[in-house]
Amino acid sequence: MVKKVYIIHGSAVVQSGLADILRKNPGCFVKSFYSVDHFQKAEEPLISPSLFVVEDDIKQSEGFKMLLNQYDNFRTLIITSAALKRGSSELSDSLFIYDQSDEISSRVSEVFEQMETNDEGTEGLSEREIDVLKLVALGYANKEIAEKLFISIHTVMSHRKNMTEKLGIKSISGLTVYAIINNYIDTTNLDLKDLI
Amino acid sequence: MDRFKKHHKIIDLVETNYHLLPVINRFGIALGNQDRSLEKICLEKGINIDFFLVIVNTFHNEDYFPEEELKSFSPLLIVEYLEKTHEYYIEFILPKLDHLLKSLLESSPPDHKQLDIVEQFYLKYREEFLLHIRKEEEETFPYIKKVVNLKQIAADYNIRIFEKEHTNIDVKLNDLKNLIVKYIKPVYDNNICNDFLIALFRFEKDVKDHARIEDKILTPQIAELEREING
Repeated sequence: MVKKVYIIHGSAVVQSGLADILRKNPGCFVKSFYSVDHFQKAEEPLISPSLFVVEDDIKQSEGFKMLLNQYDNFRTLIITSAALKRGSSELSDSLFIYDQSDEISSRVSEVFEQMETNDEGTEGLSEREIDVLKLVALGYANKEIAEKLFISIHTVMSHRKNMTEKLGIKSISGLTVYAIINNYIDTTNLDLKDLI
Repeated sequence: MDRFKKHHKIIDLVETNYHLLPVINRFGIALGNQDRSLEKICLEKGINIDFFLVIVNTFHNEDYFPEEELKSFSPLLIVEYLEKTHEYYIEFILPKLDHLLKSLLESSPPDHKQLDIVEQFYLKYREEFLLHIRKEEEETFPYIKKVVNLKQIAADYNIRIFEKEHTNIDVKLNDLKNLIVKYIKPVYDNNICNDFLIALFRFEKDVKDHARIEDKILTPQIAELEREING
């Protein structure tokens, strides 16, 4: 999985230092912002986060709480300079600004490992998702799929979203290729050129 | 190094980021400039040095955003640069990808149906990519030239529309990589497959940086002109 880490911290020094350390973690994609507002106004479309690392008072802010509602399946760590002893339970989700880089790296890898373990349970598509996939591959629109499977459009969309996340394939043609190579659709009487 | 300046040399650029090699070529600069500075090389070639620096810096550093420098050169220079990039994609990169995919197919048994399907997907992507380029050259660039030269804007088109059309193509390129890395049965020559994937990764990076130049430099420049014309 691609690990998308968004740092939100008012200090440029902390942002770059942390980004440097985190980028050493394989597969880690890091982007920094100096405030929630800055994050919201990001010019390029942002991929949904795997991990937020935020300044301690930002985590408490209303703006950040609202932002969290836009995503699921992510974790949040705070980075704090508070001179509290680490190891206390309320700080289990914290990085300490005076931590050495290997401590930060291993803390963050731990978080990703936990997330990946959860992720493996969902490997492979559910039966319903495969039903939706077959129809997507054959070129049906959401509304038609909903009618054929007797489910709501909303449910179709949520199956499609989960499917895309599990497979890492977003385009309709890409999903069609996946459906064909896994023999979910019979292509003997179909022209591949039209289908893909 | 996070910002290239006039006194730097080509070797500084290339050592920091060798992806800049084709970018330099697009300006008509070849290698072998000994120890001459970028400023000197640009002067000799009649290239606007500010423009050159904005392009290499935007290409090299994702977070670089040239606000002040934007005003110091014409958007038509960017259009010319983008046209050269398109030429590079069409004449060099796509044929290279075609060739690698062909070798990959030849290295697999003739009944490897999965790869044939991937080839179809690639061809579809290729077609859409070319269509996108053609659209820019036939609609967007002429529109920009009109805005800049004649101070004319259109009722049914503005530059922000152009910006929205990028994402779809990136998605397909990413799917292509994912399909090969995760799902296709690896009955082929691994080295050829690696070459094909590496070429895809590099192409993806180049296209992304290309899009960033369009979105971060050209679009704001034209949007500003549109505002001025609208009064």
